[in-house]
Amino acid sequence: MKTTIIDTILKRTPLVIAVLFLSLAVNAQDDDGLDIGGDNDPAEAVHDAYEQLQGYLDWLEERRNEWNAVQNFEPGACAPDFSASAGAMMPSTCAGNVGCGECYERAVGELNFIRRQLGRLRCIYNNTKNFTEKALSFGDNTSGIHAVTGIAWQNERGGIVAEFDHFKQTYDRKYTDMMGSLQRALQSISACEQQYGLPDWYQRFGFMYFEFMKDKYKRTD
Amino acid sequence: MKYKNQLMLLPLLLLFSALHIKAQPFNLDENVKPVELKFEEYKKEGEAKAKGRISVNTLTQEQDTAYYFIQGLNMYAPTYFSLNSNQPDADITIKLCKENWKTFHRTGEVKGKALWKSDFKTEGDFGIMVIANKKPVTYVLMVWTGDELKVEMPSVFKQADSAATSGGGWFKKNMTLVIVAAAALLIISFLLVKLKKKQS
Repeated sequence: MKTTIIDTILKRTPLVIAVLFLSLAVNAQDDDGLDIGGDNDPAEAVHDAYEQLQGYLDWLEERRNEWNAVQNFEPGACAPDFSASAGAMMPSTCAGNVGCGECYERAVGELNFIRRQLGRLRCIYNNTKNFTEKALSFGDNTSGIHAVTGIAWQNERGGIVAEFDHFKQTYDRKYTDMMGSLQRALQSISACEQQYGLPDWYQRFGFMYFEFMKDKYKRTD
Repeated sequence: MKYKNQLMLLPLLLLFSALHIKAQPFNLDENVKPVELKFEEYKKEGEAKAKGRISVNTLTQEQDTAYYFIQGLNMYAPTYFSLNSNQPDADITIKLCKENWKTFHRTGEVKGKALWKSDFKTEGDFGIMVIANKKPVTYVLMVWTGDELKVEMPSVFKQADSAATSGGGWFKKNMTLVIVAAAALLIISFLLVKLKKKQS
């Protein structure tokens, strides 16, 4: 009887050890999985991503006023042209004049805002035109491979062309709106000049700049 | 007052939302169905620089290639992109596109527990192509975009000269010449009168 018990224990020991090993192995495998709180915790990955973003924000903070320090996404991306011809430059007595400083600063702030948005409007137009031309060229080149694709592409092509025509109309509407805003900003400067410096500023100088900008941003195609 | 001015200019800012006709890189392949990533407002207390919009996505990819796109970007604002994984066996290739899915403007790799990031400025949207060289893989895809940066612009003003200020510029500029000419005219007339008197 005593021998039987010892025999049973000896026989079962390898089984118990095997179960223990198996349990340890399963636990080790779980660690390689995607358990929350483990090595591969997605929350930890999110935390890492935020930490890296913070590093970028710190870098950006040092260059808060340097739009040019940030690279374009693609080479040859549209860059707004803020220059004005010498003939369109406007004289101002308010610039540097303490008396009309506040009035002038506000009006020029508005003018610069409009200039910036006009630059953006033109870039959106150029990008869209570029995108449309590339899409048409891409489609024209690839659709010839298969007859069915060719027919489908003709429908698609018509849609792209119609969409771009609609976009042109939208551009013209926005252009008109912005020209109105530009004129109001120039008249605000004129009001400051009237009060502190040059009389009839808009009629004498602002108007020429307005005409220059009207020509510059008018769609010609 | 400044706030009031900004409110007046708000319609100008809103008008750009209607201007974009494209929403993702162009393609003719029906199997490519890009998923749009959505932005939400992002700000951190006491950190003005962080103010903007963010899109944080924890994604598990089981197919070879996944396509995403994000829109609503402003060319005057900075944009930050990152993709990272916490899986030691992660092997991911990232391609950022614009016009179509065949032209890549930025590419990167994430192997193991790593992060790939890129920052830039762009208008409208961009496409993200994620190629999983080992599947399935779980990763975090983050896009942040800030407020508009200050854009330096050349002045359109020149210093007003005295002529522009007075309005009667020509006379003031040529006053000496006018006086000399008038004096010469007077002398000549005086001499002529005298000569005539002598002759008579």
